[in-house]
Amino acid sequence: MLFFLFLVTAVGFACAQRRIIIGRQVRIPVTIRILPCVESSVRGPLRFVVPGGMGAYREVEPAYYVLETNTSVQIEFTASPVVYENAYHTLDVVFWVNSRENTFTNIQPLILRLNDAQLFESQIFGQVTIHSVEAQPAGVYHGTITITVSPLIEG
Amino acid sequence: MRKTILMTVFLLLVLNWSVVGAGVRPLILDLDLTPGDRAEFEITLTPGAAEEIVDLSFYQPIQLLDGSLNYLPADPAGFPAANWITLERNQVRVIPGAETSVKGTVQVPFSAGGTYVAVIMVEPQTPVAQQGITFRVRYAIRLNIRVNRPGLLTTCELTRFELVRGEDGQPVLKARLKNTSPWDYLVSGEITIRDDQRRLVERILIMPGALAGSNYTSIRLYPGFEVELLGTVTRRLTPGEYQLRGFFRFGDRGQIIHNEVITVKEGDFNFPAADAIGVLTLEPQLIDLKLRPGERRSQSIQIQSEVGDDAYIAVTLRDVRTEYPYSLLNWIELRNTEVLLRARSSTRIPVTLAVPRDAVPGSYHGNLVFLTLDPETGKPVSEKVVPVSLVIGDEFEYEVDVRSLAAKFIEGEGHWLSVDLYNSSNVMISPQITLVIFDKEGNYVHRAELNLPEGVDRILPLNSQQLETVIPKLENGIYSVELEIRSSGKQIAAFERSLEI
Repeated sequence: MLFFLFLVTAVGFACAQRRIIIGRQVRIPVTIRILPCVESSVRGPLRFVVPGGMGAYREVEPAYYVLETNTSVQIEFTASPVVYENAYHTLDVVFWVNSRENTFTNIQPLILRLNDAQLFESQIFGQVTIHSVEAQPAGVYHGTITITVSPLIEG
Repeated sequence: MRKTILMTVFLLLVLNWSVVGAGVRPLILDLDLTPGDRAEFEITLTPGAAEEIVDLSFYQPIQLLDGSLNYLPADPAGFPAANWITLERNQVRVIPGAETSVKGTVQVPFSAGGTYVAVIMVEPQTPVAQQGITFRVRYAIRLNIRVNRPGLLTTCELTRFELVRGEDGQPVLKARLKNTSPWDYLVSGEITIRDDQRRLVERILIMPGALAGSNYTSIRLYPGFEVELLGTVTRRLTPGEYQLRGFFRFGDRGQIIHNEVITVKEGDFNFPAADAIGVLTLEPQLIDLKLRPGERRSQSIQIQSEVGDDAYIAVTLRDVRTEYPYSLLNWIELRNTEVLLRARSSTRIPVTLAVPRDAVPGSYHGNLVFLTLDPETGKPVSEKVVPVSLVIGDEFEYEVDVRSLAAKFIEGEGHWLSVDLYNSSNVMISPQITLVIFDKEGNYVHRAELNLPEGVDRILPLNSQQLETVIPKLENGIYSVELEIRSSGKQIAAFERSLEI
């Protein structure tokens, strides 16, 4: 009896002091901080087979660029001139990402902005235009597309 | 035989397709230091599918007029911050299956003060393709080094303010702000156009090109650089005189106000055709609700076509700004997100707000965006926004801050006073400010009431807004100003500030 009285008093006191909460939910705050992170992969190169005659020629197969981000980023596509081995002759090439609205050349870069976390999947296309046969010697031409990923200049 | 064919296909794929892949974190490193400090940082490179050699090099950012950053290889002579930063390695091997870290240190010289921005370019090496166009992917990690040195002020200059013809002859407001201080800060601006009767024609939020299409309204401006803010006037400006009032916010405590009178002549600008301006009207034009946690409420928005052609209307949701903590977008349910609106007819879009049971008291906000789509291309041609506000609870603790107080003399009117008020509470406010001005000796000079500008009736949580009034001309000098802030008739704060004329 004495023990029971002692137990009831102790539990009552503890409840009053909020040490034991009977039939109540206790919420424990949890804070998780995820660091801004970006990952990307590109599958290329972008190849063209140009017969040499005047006209416009599309890529053999598009290249693929995939970016995964959990933060706002800017993607800038820039192209170098596409040059012949001797570096004197350049090709007139235009590239675009997904649609013709997003074109870029060696003069005009393309800037795309991703405003939130997302998976950005894109296809990169191109078109070579031969304006005159004699201006483009036969052979291999090289160029580079640089994709620069940077944090969005925030607001 | 089958094995040989498979091997050949595999080899062809490998020869024709190179795969480059890797990642980095973080993309921004913020270091708050004092002169003489030494700080360490770490960059983590995440692997792709194949082994890669990754180069790390320093670049210096150049801020362009549209606010975006361009990167140039760092020239240690003209870019001293590059000399303070060292990386333990400038080239690392990243092997699949394991992350690789690169440690770096920043040693700030004792003479430094202000913001220094450097870029660490992380660039996986890519072999040049034997045929075709080679791809390079690189990551620009921005290192913001802020060196706290007493006495360095945040200053900004308005270098250009004009109304010009845009590409299609449309009227475009242009303002340029230059960061004349050693600190970086956020800048934003808005311009109001009033007619010769001082009636509001339009209030336009002006933004740099780099923020186009984003949900941001302000941009970070780096020391020594200039940014151009643009905004298109959508209302027709009939020939006559107009007053342009610019309000620019910079940093936590800065504001620039500017007043200019312009004359618009016949043929100065092209305006969109009348039927393109008001393709549709919406009713109601805003949704204001007060609900309890767990409650659901539905409401319809009527869309009325104002043109003689059918149009597709897409309904989307847009946050007040990116990562807004008082967003209610997740609580909005839309049954229809695209409707065909017949010429000069109307339709209704039901919108349901479902408040979670554990929602905490405060006010929550978002926008319903109605896009009119071109029936041929499917691209948006115009948009209308219906703001949605929801209040949960009855008792709130109000917290506001007077970020800045400025005055500008307007010929023929007096001094235009502007207070930039920040609402740091969790509920929207509809403030009014009573301002009493005293001279250096403490003598009463003037009393004025400042109100929100026309067309604005509230300040959302964690947002700023300027309140303004025009008072009789003040003599040059330094004044002491007492400000009492009220919301819905109740005093919520009081401040004292100084004002220099």
